[in-house]
Amino acid sequence: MALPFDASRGWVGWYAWAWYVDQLRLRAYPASTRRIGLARLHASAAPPPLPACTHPLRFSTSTLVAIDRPPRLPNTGGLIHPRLEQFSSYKLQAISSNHQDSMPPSADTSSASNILAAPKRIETRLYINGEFRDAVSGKTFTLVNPATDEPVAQIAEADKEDVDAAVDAAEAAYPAWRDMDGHARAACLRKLAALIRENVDAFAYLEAVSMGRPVYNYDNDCEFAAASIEYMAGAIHHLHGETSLQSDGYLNLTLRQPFGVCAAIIPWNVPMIMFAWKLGPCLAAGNTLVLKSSEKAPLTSIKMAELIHQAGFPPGVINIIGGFGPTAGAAMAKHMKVRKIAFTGSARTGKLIQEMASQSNLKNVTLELGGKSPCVVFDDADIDAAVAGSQFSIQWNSGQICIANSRIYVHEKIAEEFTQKFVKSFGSVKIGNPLDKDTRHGPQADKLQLANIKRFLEKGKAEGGELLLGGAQVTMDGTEASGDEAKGCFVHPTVFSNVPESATIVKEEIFGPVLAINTFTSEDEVLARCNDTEYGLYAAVYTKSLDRAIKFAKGMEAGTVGVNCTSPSGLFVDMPFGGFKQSGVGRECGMDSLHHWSEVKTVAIKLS
Amino acid sequence: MSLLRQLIRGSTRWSSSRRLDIAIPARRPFHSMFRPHYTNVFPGAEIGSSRQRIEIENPATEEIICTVDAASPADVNAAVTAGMKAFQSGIWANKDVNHRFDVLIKLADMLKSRMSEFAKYESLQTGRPIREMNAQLARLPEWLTYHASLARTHTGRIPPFKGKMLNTLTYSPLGVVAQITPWNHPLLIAIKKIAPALAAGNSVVVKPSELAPVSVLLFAEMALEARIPEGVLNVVCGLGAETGKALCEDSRIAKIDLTGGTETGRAVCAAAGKNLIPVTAELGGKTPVLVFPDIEVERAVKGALFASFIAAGQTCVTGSRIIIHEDIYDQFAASFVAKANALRIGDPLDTKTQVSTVINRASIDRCQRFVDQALSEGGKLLCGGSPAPVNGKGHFFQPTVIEVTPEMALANEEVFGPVIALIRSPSPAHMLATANSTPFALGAALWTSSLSLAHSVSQQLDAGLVWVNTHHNNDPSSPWGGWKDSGMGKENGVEAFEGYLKCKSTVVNWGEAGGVDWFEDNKGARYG
Repeated sequence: MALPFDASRGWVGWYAWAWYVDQLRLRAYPASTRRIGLARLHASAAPPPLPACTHPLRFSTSTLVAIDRPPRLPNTGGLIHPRLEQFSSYKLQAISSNHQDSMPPSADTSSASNILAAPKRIETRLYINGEFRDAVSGKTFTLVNPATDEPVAQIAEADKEDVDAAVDAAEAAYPAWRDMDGHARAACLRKLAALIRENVDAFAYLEAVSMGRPVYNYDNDCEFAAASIEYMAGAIHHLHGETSLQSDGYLNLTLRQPFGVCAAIIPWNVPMIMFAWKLGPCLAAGNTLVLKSSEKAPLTSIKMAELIHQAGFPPGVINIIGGFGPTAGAAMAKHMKVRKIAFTGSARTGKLIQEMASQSNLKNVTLELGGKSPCVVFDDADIDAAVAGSQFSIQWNSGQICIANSRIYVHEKIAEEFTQKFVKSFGSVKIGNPLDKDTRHGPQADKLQLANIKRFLEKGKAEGGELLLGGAQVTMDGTEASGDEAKGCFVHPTVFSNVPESATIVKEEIFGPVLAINTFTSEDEVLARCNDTEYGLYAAVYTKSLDRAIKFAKGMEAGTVGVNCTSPSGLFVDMPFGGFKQSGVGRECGMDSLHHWSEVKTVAIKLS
Repeated sequence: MSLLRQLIRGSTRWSSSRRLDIAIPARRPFHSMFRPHYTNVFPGAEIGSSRQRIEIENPATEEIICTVDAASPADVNAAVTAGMKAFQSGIWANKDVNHRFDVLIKLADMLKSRMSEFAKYESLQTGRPIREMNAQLARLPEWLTYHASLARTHTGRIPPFKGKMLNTLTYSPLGVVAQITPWNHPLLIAIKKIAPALAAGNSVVVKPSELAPVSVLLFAEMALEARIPEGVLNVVCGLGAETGKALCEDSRIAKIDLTGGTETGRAVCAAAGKNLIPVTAELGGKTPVLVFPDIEVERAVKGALFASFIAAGQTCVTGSRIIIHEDIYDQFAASFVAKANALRIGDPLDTKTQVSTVINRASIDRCQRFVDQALSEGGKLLCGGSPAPVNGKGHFFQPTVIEVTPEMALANEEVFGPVIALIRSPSPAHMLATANSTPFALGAALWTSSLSLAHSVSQQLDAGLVWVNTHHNNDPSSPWGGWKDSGMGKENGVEAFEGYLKCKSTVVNWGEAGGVDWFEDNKGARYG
């Protein structure tokens, strides 16, 4: 099995992500579901014969190296520490009878067993101070299924007053949570992780009908979310301060202490993972949290609220609201009692949030923003591995991934072979209803996203690239859509080649299944092209040369570099993730993350 | 016979060696840069009337270049007393770290300005080519500046202690530490040990090898000029059996840091065990060089040649067994032997000289014995194999390459000379198994162009240090040390620095009154 070379690091990271990615790939293209896409140039051309294996190593490293796959740790079941009894007045409240049930979308009532069934009940309200409630204004907004354009649910729409209520609840809960024994806080987090694993199907369904994510591999998102939270439960016991005896007459200390009330705004593309990356370190460090989900994918966050409730977190420690950026999001960013805000989303919104943070109370800001991630494929690389990896990177989640490799630079010598294989593979992905377990490629998240991508497609055609695959909106069954009235938000996997470096589709983040394949000959020149961007989230290089691998690992201006793997490989619960340049501020995952969720206090004790 | 060599063979412990009981050197020193005689450096203490002197020989000319005092147990006692006195006075240990930083930086600068002089001393007392010594010594000031900087930046921690308790971890120096250093890199290894010990605030008593102590003595003299206080850095020369033993058995010593042979290591650890003090031991090795078939052969040959014949094979990480995949074995062996044959032997002070002497006559004999044994066991001599005196003088031994199989003595025992084993290996698994088959676990090198292979083989090698596509590179920031019979603990890096400190955990109760009120039938009282 092809493993990323750094997979031996920490079992949690290995398990949660390397396994994840391999599973995704294995399941992405079952032979029975292959179909012909819109490949215009190469689909009918026979691929060139595979080159003979030229690797000078005649032996397989797997015979030499037995990497033990670590056993999955037994679930501890999340024992609640006796210290939690101080909250004994807090009882799990039965979800009241007037909750807003939503009907499953009618399009999904197909009798085929491949269609994932809807959960019995879908909660749609805000979760504030340990209870589900409607927005103060009573307002709701309509969530639309991007596969069918049909309404899914009416979601409670939070605004400033709701944010205030949530912040007040978080503020009231803060002292007790901060002072609670670390072992007790860890137990709550572990319990939450266990509950996530028990509710995979519900999460998969909710995401599919909200933003169109195919259900076939959603268990992996849930597993990664659970593992991230478990890691942070452990990290609680490893958040150290420092001591110094360097100054005569003083005992000097640093203490790592929570900020207080924190806010998080998560995106719609991989909500479960983003939720976990914010909640885990925030709570592990002793903060309390107000989290806003995206209006495009609010349902999984509300489901998380139910599990948080069950896990036994004291009321007010975590508050979940749904709503829009300009109203609820802005209220969080400007709130005078919120001491830290973490945001994942676009660079444009990130800048607004930083601006609002500085104009209000200079709250601490961490941002994880966009990317235009390059993937360099050298002529000595394992071409099939590079095709499989880079193709999955841009196809997964319909290209709506900040780390997706949207620029591929392939060495001229292998450009033709690589491109043919890439187009064939990318073009054969099965487009369909996200609720269908056979579907590998779902719609874009909504009409706005779709329109945005269509604009990029037109620009790509106009600015000199050669269109090799796709390039248009399609229907749910994969046929070319005609006119703007076409149902659904599907975009066919699209490949441009030989695109000028100055073209919009090489410079700007598209957030769709669209990429440019360009060629290169010189190592230094391609490195410069990779780095010629305002983004710096992820970069990948495929090569067998050890020297070149390390040169690129050091030379790429990106927060994460994949060597012989590309995104989403390279993300691990124990390794920091974040961006260089305009891709962000701060890091998530690993101990670095915990440092970003805590303040440092210096205590100078004068010894008399 | 060299103490080290004897001890590696396991024939003797605390053995005695060449020693004169008269005060007058037998011959006049040949090189005028040497004083006729060097005394030990432990200022501020009473120097015993040592009548025993050790002759220092130039291995290239076999001439006696000077004598040094052999410290008696009384001298050692005085040096430790001087160290204790300085430590207890706090003149160094309790001094502001900025002061320690300044002094060590000054010492680094002084060393830099006298570099070529020190290189010449090193070359003349060890027989190693001046080119090697110039290159090696040029980096030594980095060890002093690195550890001086660590002293400034090192911090303890505050663990997340349960309840209303404040727990501080703070570090303080150990006290007087003993350091026993070898003759192959006299100044490098001494400074590797002295720098972290002094930076951390300890007092130090160094016993350099009796075969090449002069540069270490001169360094200690220079340290006094740099304002290291009297008693903080002491040097006592002498034989392991007498001086070394007395030092290690002194009950006031807080730690022993040794570089030497494995049997010396066992003797030193036994002495440390009696006093229950920690030991850092950097001992013998039988460093494998694994050459995988995906590497450009010439690149590996050049690297292996350096690994094998630098310092005439007298380093603890000498690439003394080269394990080559059979696919490229013939090509590798032909090129390696041709290059080994072409190495220039000659006057160490000549900058063109490539291969030095070994340290003494005993070492020549030892090399010869290994060659004879390898041939009698069926090994195939590919080049060299004999002593090669220049103008009838000097402990030169030809660069020697012998093809052996993994079970032969030459493939398993440390020679500490330019006698190199080539092993043909049928598979990567066999290469790895062969590499891991000795009791040693210090260095290892592998040559491959595959990053995955490099990483996975590195993980499976029994070795504290692994080089990929290089050999013997080191850095003051990078921990250095072996496992199994190659020793314990680390030199270099934060690990070495913290090895010279002791950790104090202080737990302050600031709000759990009930915890202390155990016997008042307080049900909520905390225990633990």
